[in-house]
Amino acid sequence: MEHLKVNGVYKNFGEFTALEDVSFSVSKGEFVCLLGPSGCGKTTLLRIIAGLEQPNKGAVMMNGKDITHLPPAKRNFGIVFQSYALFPNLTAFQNIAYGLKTRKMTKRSIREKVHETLRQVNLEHIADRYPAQLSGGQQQRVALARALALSPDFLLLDEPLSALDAKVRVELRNEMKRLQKQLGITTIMVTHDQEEALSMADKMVVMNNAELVQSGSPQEVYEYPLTPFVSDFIGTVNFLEDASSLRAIRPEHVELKTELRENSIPVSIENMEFRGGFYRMMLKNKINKQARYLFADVSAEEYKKEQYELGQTIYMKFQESGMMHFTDYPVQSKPLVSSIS
Amino acid sequence: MITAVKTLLGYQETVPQRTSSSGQWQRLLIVCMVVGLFTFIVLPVIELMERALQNRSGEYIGLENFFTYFSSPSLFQSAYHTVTVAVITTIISVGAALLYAYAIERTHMKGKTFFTYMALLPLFAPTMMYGISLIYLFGNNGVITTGFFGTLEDWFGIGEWDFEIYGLKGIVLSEVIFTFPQAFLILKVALSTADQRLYEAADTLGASKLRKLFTVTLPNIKYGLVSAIFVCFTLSFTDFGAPKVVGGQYNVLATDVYKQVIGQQNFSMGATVGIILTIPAVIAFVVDQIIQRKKEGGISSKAIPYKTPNNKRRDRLYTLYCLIVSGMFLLLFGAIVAAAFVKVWPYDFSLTFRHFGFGNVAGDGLKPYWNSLLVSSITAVVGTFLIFLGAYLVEKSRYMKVIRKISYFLSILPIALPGLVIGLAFIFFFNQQMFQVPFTSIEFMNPFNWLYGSMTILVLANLVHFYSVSFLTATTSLKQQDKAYESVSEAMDVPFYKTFARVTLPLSLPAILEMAMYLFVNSMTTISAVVFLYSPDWKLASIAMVNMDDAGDIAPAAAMALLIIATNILVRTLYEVASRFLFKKTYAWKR
Ligand SMILES: Nc1ncnc2c1ncn2[C@@H]1O[C@H](COP(=O)(O)OP(=O)(O)O)[C@@H](O)[C@H]1O
Ligand SMILES: [Mg+2]
Repeated sequence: MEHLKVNGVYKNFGEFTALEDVSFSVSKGEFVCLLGPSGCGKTTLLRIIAGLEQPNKGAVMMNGKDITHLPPAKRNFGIVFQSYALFPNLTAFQNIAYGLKTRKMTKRSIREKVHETLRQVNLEHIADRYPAQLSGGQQQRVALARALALSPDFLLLDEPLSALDAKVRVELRNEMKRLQKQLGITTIMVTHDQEEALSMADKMVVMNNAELVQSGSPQEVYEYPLTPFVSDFIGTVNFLEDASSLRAIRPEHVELKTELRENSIPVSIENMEFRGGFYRMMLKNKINKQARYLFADVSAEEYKKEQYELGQTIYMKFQESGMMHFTDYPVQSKPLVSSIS
Repeated sequence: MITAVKTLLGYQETVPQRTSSSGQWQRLLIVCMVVGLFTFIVLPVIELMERALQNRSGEYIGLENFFTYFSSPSLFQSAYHTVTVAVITTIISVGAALLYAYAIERTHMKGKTFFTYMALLPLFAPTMMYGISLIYLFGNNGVITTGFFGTLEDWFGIGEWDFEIYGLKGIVLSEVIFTFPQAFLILKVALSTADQRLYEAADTLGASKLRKLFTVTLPNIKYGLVSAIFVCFTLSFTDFGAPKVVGGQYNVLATDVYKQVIGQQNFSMGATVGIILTIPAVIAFVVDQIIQRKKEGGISSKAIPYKTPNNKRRDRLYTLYCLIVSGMFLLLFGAIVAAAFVKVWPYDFSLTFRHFGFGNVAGDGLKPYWNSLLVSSITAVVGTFLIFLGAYLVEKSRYMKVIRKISYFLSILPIALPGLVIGLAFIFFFNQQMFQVPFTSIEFMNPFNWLYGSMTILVLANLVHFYSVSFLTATTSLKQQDKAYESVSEAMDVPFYKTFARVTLPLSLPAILEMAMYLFVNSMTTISAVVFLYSPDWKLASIAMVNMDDAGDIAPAAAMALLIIATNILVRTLYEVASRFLFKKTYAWKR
């Protein structure tokens, strides 16, 4: 059965529509990433699930029961805000103990619980420091520990990693994922970073302009995006458009050859980016110069073999198996890639 | 009708949520707050407006009082006088304060701390004090008028001057001193944030000094300048203390209100003049709201702080200027000290403490001073708590959005009400035996009538009078705290009052200290709001000064002024010490 379900939620701020008919569900123990560009309503949705904001219409269900009318305290979730919202005048220990104090626990069991939680996030040594004396990553983990200390049914995280620098972010990504699996706690994490979502999520929920556009496993969403927006937002994509249809293909499904063949387009190499195991080539269509840049991935081996040079003319061909077709979408006024042949 | 109002205020139907008990308490407090604000601010003002539309026997006569006022040459003349005083004061005060603030913020002169405190000195005294000082310096027997009692004539053959200090000159001088610190504080803040890049750009373009003044410096401080102008104008427009003491025959609106009410018992005309008195403040209020809205997002986060270039000559000039200004302030305070301690000015210059006995003055002795101390302390403690709680609810609660918006407006409204008007409105409101529900004949007993003549009404008047500034101090501090603190607490099922006590209050302590200090100091010096409200049992120090001055006992009035100033300086010093201590104590939080 679904652990948590969001059912047809609407939210307006005055004239402004922040959420329009959003529905999705979360299974027990699942790690769900709520992904979408900035301002699309992710935080608002999270606050509605938490009960900190009320929807204009719709319901939040838990284990099949409607909890929309319940105040936040009765929903039993832990929450970490984008700003962490650690109390600056309390030490890490006091911050984590803050919610336990109202739970009629003995001083000793509070202390034990706090230390246990600190251990889980590897921060036992900083218990007596104030938030201002901690690094960004440590602050984030204290905020996480504060949310976990109350043994919540589910965890809500609002862009918990966005304030950190890239290296710490990747480290914490793994640590959070490990902890989540270890505790088996159902988690909804908001993010605008597609890479983060792809690498962490069991299930992705993609939003745009106050609406939910697609949900599914990262592989599903990546390989079978329902709309051009999703294909573009998650990963890199080349749009191919002719009079009646819009198609798209990912760079890894593009083949590059040095000589002309059937059904291939001549392009010139504009840029070559080393990405570790492969190179990402930025290419310019030689027939239609107004078209958007095209991208193709080349394995390091092949790159070495072919000795590509900037400005060189090569020919690209699309693997039919990797082609995505968007039927319902109107053809855009400005062609992205004009007629291929 | 109700739906229309709700739509206008941005109310929207949502799925209802069961409120936790913590939320119920917040709702209750919010309702209490809005009822309190409405009762003690809106109702008295409505009462005042109604009275302005009635004749002396309580019949409704429309705008007749206003016509009478403007067609009576003597009354109309005081309106003209008041504008004259306000305009001249504003020009001098803002100009002088701008130079002074510039000296503090944009030069390398020495002794800035000393000069800053000197500029704030006038905040600690009632405005009447400047009047009294001026009389001792420039009055008929003044030190300077008589050429140091003939010394100058003996030595240099220079005779006596006649400054004609009573009248326009005396009032304007007093008001300039009174408004100077306010303008200085505003302009100091405005000048403290400048973008070095703009000056560098101007230099690159070869702009002259004058050009830079008009194209960079002035536009940069324009909001501060407008603010300072409005504050000086409204303060000098509505001040009562100085014209009362040095006004002589030069009538102004504030003294008119007093004369109409106390002298002629013509409350309706008093109310009418009171409304006229409020006009500039209301205009300032509206303009300020517009400016505040425009100002947001105006400051670039990339700005580089201004680096004052070295210039010895400039520093010397500004030092000289600051010395002159502080010298004048010290002279005024010196005159008060002399007046308070000299036996019989100007005949017997031996020193005495006898003026501090206040024995022969209506037999009140030191009682008014103790009263003032008590009223100011209660105002400071109760006011700080209530106002901070109010600001907290408005800023941090998530319940009753529409009512919180209304409360915000009511909280900043009193800034537009002159003290005299608050006092007058309070008389009408509290002195009434019965209230009538508008448009009906239903009447009921005034439940607040018993407060009339009590100490509580003095505290209430002070609270309303000084509500807005304290409220804004609290709001500014609360806005700097993450709104998610409340959300986190709620999610953890911690009641709001726990987080209020454990997190919000400690984080806001500097602002709280500032509010308490502000409320205390202003309650000690104010006259205008309480002059209509005190009873013989609850005479205050500042009012005793008025009475003594009326009776010609100027030396005891000076002594009383000195007591007030000394107390305020002591409280301010305590505030500074406490602030330092707090800063050290909380250093670890901020690293
Ligand atoms: N309390 C509010 N009042 C008015 N508008 C709001 C409020 N909260 C959010 N919004 C607006 O709703 C939109 C969605 O906000 P949010 O949910 O924070 O987006 P995200 O988290 O996806 O970046 C934004 O345009 C924001 O300006
Ligand atoms: Mg957000």
